[in-house]
Amino acid sequence: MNRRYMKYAALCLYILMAACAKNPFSTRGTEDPYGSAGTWETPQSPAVALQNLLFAYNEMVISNYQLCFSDSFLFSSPEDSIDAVNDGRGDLFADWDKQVEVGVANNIFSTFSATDTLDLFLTLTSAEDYIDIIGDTSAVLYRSYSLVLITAVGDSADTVTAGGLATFHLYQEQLNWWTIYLWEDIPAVSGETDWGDIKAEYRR
Amino acid sequence: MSKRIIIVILVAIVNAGILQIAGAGIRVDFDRDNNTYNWLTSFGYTIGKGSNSIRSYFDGQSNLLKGSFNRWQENASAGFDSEVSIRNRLKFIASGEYTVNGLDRRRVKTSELAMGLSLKPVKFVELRPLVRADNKRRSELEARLDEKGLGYGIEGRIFPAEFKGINLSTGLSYNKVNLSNIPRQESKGDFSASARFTDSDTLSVSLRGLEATTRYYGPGGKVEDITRQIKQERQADFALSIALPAEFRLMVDGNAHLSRYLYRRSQFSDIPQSQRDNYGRGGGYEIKLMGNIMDAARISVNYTWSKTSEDFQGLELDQDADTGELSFHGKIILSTRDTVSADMVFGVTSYANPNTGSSRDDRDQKTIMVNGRYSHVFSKYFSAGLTGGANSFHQIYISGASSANNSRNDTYILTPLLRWIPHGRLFITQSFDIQANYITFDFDRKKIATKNRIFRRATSRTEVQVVISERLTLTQGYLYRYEDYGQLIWDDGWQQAVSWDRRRNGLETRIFYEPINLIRISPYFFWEKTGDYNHTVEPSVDVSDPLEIRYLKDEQVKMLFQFQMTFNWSDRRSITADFSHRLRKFMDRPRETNDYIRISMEYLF
Repeated sequence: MNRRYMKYAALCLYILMAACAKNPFSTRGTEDPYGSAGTWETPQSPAVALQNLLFAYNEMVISNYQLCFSDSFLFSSPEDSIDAVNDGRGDLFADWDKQVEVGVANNIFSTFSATDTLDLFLTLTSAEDYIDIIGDTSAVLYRSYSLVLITAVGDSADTVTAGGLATFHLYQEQLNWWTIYLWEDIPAVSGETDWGDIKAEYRR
Repeated sequence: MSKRIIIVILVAIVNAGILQIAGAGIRVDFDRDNNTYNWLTSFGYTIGKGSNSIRSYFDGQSNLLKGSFNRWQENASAGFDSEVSIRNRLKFIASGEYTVNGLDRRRVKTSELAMGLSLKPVKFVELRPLVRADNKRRSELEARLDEKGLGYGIEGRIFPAEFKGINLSTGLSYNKVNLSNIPRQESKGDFSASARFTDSDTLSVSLRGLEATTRYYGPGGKVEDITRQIKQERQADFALSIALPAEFRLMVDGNAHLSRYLYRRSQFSDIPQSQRDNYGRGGGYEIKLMGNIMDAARISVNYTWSKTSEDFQGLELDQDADTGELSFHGKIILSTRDTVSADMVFGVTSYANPNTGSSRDDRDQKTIMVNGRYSHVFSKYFSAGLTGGANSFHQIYISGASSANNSRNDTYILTPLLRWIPHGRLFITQSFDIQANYITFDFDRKKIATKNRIFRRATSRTEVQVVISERLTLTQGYLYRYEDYGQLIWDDGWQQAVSWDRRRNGLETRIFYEPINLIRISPYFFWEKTGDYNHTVEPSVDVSDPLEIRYLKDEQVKMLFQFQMTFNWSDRRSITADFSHRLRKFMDRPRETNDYIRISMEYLF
């Protein structure tokens, strides 16, 4: 082929792309608020980054939640992963990156914010046996958590409680703000429901 | 199982007898960080001669998390793959892998053994029929369950072949793992074509498809509670690169994808919403124009568009996302001493739920990033640079149910830098870093209890490096940082009400010493003192303005002692040991200590 054909190809692409484009400057209009606002603070320390995660989860504000994570984020839930391999579904916890984490959280938030009959409540407390390791540019924070889900089963409500130890690895990224790049999860009691079990139910 | 191990050993021995070592290596790591212990071991061994080869490997990972209850996690895999030539275009191939995944008393042990032929009927075509035996033994507390079965597969591939100037390659494969209750099968196909039209213009296209069926147990692990998942995926990609006049180049690439996940289960009502039948589709492209202008300027302009749709058949989880992003990068060499560069990114991503009445999370995310750098070389002993930037992240919820969250997260940054070399062995670097972060809610202009916040930070960092000899370098650094944080109140303009401020002073010393070529030693010491001050306001009866009180809330001293030593007895063999002791003292809390140790060995044969 010669360059003339290439120019035709480029023209075809131009027409195609003119039809499929989005203005990178323009946003949609918004309604005046009748709900309350979520909570977000500058993640200038590892503790504030986790506080943002806690508020984003309880307030179910997905755009705040996604700001908690580094682009290189990974989620690891060893006991749940082994259970998944056990059950023949080894891919359930595989390649759990930021995109998957935000997609799963979005599914959880969409489900639990859709009606008033469903709700979730997360608490994070310092883990007794573990001391947080806070360096200049990296940190490891240990948090005991309790996640209570009020779900609907048929016409009645059910409560599911997940408890365990979450280990958050953070570092300072662009602009020196702290973000989570690794989240490890183990249940409080081996074999019982943990956060990873809940999250896995909402992975596509 | 024992028979399989014997087969594996026999294959290895037979191969080893006629082959030569082609490569081998071992790597061992141990690290301990307070309550966490990690051991990593990996070993690889490859022998070969002509087209015959055998590769064996072992990867092991053990973690111990100490606490109220010690938790052991172990993952290990050992395996081999080999090829033995039988005739000119016929090979015998075999592979095997044994894996153990364990956490405390949970264990999953899997073994796979596959054997088959590699047949090349013509030069560019390869067929690989295989039979396989799989075994999975799982134990969880008191429960044990074994799965095993004989499976098969076939793989066909056309290696890159040229046809009328077009490079083509394609592959098809089918694989069935026939475990008793949870079999899985997978079919994959791919095709790619690329062509070069002139010396520099290229076009490539690729297509991929996947069909997979997997059966898996539900949470109870019962045979009657098995779900069947059917996964179908299709993807197409293209990339075009055209040379334009004046050293410019246009690059265009795009993709389109479709996916379908179907679930079949007896107790349908218990399946979570996200694991019901769902469909996904999307696509996008990127146009990039880049070029050089008379070797004095380099610019590139990108436009990226993508659109995705997730369809859970009318559920709240349905979501469409649409992104448009324009970016620019430019660098101009003004003179031999002056360089200026800039980056700009403007983008909007819109999310929408297509179902009526489910617009609570419909939102736009607007991102603006502008960064610029200027550097000037005064002389070969003195240079300076200035970096500045503004970043804005604006989230806009459409529905009034969520629009109270509409907020801007704006960050401004300015970083001057000076480098001075007063002597050939003395290097001085001084940098400043000034940042301000504004978080302002679109609908919040309250003067009391507002959520609007401002965070400011200024850092000065001085580093002096003295090269005492080729084998000994001393680096001394000093850091001062000021931070404050508080409410941002709208009163015909933004006004700051400081809630707290923090001051840090830090000193660090690092020595790099290489007494002989084999040994490198690097001790490091870091000391930092931080004072946190709270600000409160008390009404004053004597003066009209309220009285602002600032008091010390917390003070901490942090010290880090670190020692690193490396024995590098060749380019391919080394041992590194790293020890550190961290100490933190607080004003009204007990001191905290933390020890870290890491020993790593790499030995390549």
